[in-house]
Amino acid sequence: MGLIEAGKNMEQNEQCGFALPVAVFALVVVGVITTGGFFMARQEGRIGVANEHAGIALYLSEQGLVDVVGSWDAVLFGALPVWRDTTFTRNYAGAGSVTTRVTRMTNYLYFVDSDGTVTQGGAMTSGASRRVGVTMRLNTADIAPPASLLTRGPTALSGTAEVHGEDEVPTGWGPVCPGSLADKPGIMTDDATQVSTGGAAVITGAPPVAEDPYISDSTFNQFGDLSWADLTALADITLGGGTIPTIGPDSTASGGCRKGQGFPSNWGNPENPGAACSNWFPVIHFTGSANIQSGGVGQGVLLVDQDLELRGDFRFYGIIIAQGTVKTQGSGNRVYGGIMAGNANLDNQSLVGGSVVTNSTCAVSRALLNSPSLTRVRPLASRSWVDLSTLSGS
Amino acid sequence: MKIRNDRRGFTLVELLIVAVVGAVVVGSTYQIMLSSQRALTYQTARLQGHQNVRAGIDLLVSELRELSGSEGDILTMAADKIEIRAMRAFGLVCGVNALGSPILVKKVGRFFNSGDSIVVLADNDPDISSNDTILSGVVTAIDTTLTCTGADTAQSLAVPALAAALVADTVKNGAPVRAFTNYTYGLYTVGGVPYLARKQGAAIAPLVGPLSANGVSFVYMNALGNVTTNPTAVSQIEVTLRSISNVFDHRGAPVSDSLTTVIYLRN
Repeated sequence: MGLIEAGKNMEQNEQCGFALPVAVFALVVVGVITTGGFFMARQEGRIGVANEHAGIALYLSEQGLVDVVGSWDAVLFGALPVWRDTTFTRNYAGAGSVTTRVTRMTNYLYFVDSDGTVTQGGAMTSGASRRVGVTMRLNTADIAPPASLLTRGPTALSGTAEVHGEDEVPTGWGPVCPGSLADKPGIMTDDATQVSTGGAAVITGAPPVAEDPYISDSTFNQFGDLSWADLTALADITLGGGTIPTIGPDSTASGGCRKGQGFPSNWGNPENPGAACSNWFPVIHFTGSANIQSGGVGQGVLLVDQDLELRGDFRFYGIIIAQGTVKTQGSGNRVYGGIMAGNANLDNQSLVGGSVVTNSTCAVSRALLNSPSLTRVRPLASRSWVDLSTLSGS
Repeated sequence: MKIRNDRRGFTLVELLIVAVVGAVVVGSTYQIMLSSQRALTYQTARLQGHQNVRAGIDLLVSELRELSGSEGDILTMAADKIEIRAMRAFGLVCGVNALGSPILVKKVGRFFNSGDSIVVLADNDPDISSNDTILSGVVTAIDTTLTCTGADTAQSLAVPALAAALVADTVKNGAPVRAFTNYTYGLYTVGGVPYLARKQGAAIAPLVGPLSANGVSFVYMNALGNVTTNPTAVSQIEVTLRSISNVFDHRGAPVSDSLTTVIYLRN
């Protein structure tokens, strides 16, 4: 190749068009626009996911409330000391987890708060959480003995029998018995002149004996909206009556409580708080007259269609309601709570021997509140729900 | 040596063709860029509007869901505004004073402040739920150095208006306490632009905008879903937000979006 041809080729190579710069520019512009579009879409997607997860977190926390409130464990929560709590954590596959906490505030009020956290979406988009709470109130059967012994007709105390209206917290029950004490009459009856004492018998209270002429059949068989039939239909243990052998707690080797109709002699374990069956407060119903012959210990609500006789060494924590008379004999009978003896036939009823009946509002309320049959949990009528998500900080 | 010069220039026709082709190419590129820019602006405006109404709805849901119509939390209501008691703090009574105020409140979330308006549950007879009532008052002094049983963080609230009720033992341990602030949420024009705004006293804080001239609307319904004008009967509120933009679509209409939701009052 000669020099001239080489020079021509060089001159031809230097003839550049504008297509390449334009193409590059266009590519850059299109790239920027596409990137911007992708960025916007990604932002929008993230906002959408965040929004969705915030909603899921709220529903998770609500689900936590529903799960606990819908299967309210009156026994477990009733055993919580005041202002103490218990927590539950549940995982919902593919969605997240919920930690729900139940705090006992009084005998009747509980605060349930639930923290839902979204775990789906991996490290990039998980972690949304919401916390909601609800104040729950226990509504229970309206059974409130106005005295240690509410009765009608002739009532005689003799021997070393005692009836005390002063409010007392059973031994070992302090942590689960909030609230102030409320003394009541020792005996309330329709005719105070029919109450008599002999020997070393004692009646104390505020006052020792009170009279209410309006005491009638309905006092003993109608409790708010619950009739006697309604109440007995809620019994956990139904027995025919007659002579009853020793009553006492029944637990398994592993510490479980054997309870219910299949274990009719187990009426709970009131004297060993924390032990198996200490939170078992059954409603027991005798369809006839009952003689508790061999003593024992129990708690809950004891309903008797006819007469009840305690023949010694029987200790009961809660409420006893008999449509007939209540009699005691022997020593060691002890009732914490209240007795309502309808004595419809106005028979002579007698408390003799070393029997002691003591008013205990705590024993009464625990017998009711720890019974799933007699107690329902409901949110407060107003202002029960709270969104705690926005209340963090100091 | 004689060098033959065979380099020729472009003819006029060639130059014209190049100019025309170049103009077409540049013009096309410009059109593409312009269209893309418009599309981007339009999409951005749509997204902005969508995010605006969504954020506004989230905010209103959060505030309004907490209300209790029956307890008077809705102070005034109109088609484009609602004045409410908005909750700002929550606690649980953990100590009552038989001599009256103050009350001890367990901290749940943030502390209460002096000057807060509060409402508290008066349980009255705890055996009966039907006599529960709600009392209100203003916190005049606080002490944040105290604890409840179990060492939970607490603060005492001096609420003179509750003194008589506390002496009468109507407020029990465990009663929920809420602090609230009166806010009006609605459509307000700020700087000539309609906004969803929050008004407290004379102060207006724009929250979400710009919105259209009818950008906020509330429909108040009772438990049966029927429209009501009675604030204490309200149990559902239908909220609609409509955004608007200064960007126009291909038909010449401003880009807009709207979102409607029904909020059920939980309390």
